[in-house]
Amino acid sequence: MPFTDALIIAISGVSVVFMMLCILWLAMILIDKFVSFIESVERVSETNQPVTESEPAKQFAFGAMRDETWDRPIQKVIGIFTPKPDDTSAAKKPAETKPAAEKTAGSEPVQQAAYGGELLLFDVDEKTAACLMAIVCEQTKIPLNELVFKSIRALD
Amino acid sequence: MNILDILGKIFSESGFAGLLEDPRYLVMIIVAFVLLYLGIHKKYEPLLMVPIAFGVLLANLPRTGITDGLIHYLSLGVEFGIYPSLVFLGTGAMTDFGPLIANPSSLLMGAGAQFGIFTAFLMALLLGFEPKVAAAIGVIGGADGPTAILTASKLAMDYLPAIAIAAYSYMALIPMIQPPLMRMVTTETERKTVMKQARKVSKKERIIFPIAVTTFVVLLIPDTAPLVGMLMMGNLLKETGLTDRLSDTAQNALTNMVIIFLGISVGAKAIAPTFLTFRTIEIIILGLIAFCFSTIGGLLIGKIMYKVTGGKVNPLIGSAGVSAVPMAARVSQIEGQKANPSNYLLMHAMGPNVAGVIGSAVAAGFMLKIFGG
Repeated sequence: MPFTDALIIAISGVSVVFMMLCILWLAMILIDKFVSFIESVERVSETNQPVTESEPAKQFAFGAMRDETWDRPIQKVIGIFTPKPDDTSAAKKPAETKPAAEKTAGSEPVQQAAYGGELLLFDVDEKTAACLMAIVCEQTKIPLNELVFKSIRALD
Repeated sequence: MNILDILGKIFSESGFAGLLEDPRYLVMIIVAFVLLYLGIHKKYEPLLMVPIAFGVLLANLPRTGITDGLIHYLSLGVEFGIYPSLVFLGTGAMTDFGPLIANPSSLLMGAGAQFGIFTAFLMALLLGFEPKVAAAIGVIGGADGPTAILTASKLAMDYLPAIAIAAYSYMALIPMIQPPLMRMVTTETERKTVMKQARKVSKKERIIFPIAVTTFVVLLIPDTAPLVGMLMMGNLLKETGLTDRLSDTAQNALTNMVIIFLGISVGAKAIAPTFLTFRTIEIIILGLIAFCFSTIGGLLIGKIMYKVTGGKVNPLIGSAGVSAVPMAARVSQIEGQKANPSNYLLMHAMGPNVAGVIGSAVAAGFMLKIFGG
């Protein structure tokens, strides 16, 4: 094989490898955008779902998962729920009764959280919330990075 | 008939008499002992080096006929390219592509680190190797054992043992080969660069990635299907979270079995008359050159990215593009910490590292496309 032909093959090979991996780079950017879009759509649709009858049962289920590992401050915390932006009756009630206790600013903290993706703490300090999240993670066997908490509220 | 006749007959039909007939087998047995020493005592890729070395030993013990029986049938897995692809299945199931998905620009460093493949190809041609053989030798520069074996089994079967032994030896020697080159190509300031933590990768992205890569890459270069397809299938088994049993088998039982068969088969191809030639030494040297050029290629792309991003990318991670997972990434981490003790490059280096696996499979697919027909 003449050396010039070999050189052309080598240059073509390097070009093909770069081209292929650049196409992959582009594809990965597109996948990233696509997945981000899907996830944002899912988040919005989740937050727009009305509070159903099964929601209190879900709260109860989380609340009922107490065992001897729960200490007193954690036992005070009984609710984890997904608030509905337009259903202010349930979400705003604690804010009206205990406005000073809420850690988020603004008059509609629940609605902000619904779209901002932040965890709201109502009368719960961060240490207790962290313990609670760890317990829920352990009890439900859902990895912590897949478990989404919307808010944690003390009800007594 | 007396007792001396009987003893004489036993000796004349023994392997010892065979060694006296052709002392090259004795040399190969010594080579096998050296490889076993390197694998067991020096811990140079022991999982592959030990089966390969034992295969060399078995095949070079004269008059056993083993190469016509057991090893002949085991070798069919190499000849048909089955074992390397199955090893890739296990590799995919063990590999976390998260760092690459989080930082897709790593792909460029993975591409740059294939530079040595084409440099070694040209040098092998200059040394008088046939183009097919030169292509197979070049793939050593990809630092990917299964890829090198697959390419050699299709393009240069006679040189398969030399190519496989060279590839795995240099992969084991990465901690010695790469650091001087890394220090030579990069500056102190570049090596001190601290990189920001990569973003979190969602499960959806992890699942879509292997499917998308297989579709794109195999459609463009169909010859990469056995390697890229198996690699990505293994990864998909891991990432779905629904096929844990299959993923576990691919990672452990299947890979372990295949490695035993692959190692013995490759080692058993290293028979004295074909292995003990000057060509073997040339292949070993060309393999080293390929490795060095691949490392430098990755580092140079890393330097370009350092400049382009305004100093946000540490060029040391470029050397990890040579795909020896995770050894090359570990070397980047160690060198980065030597320059700046607060530097944690391991996860950043895993991006180019796994990109290198894809890159070397693409380069091998290109070689097979050009020379395989």
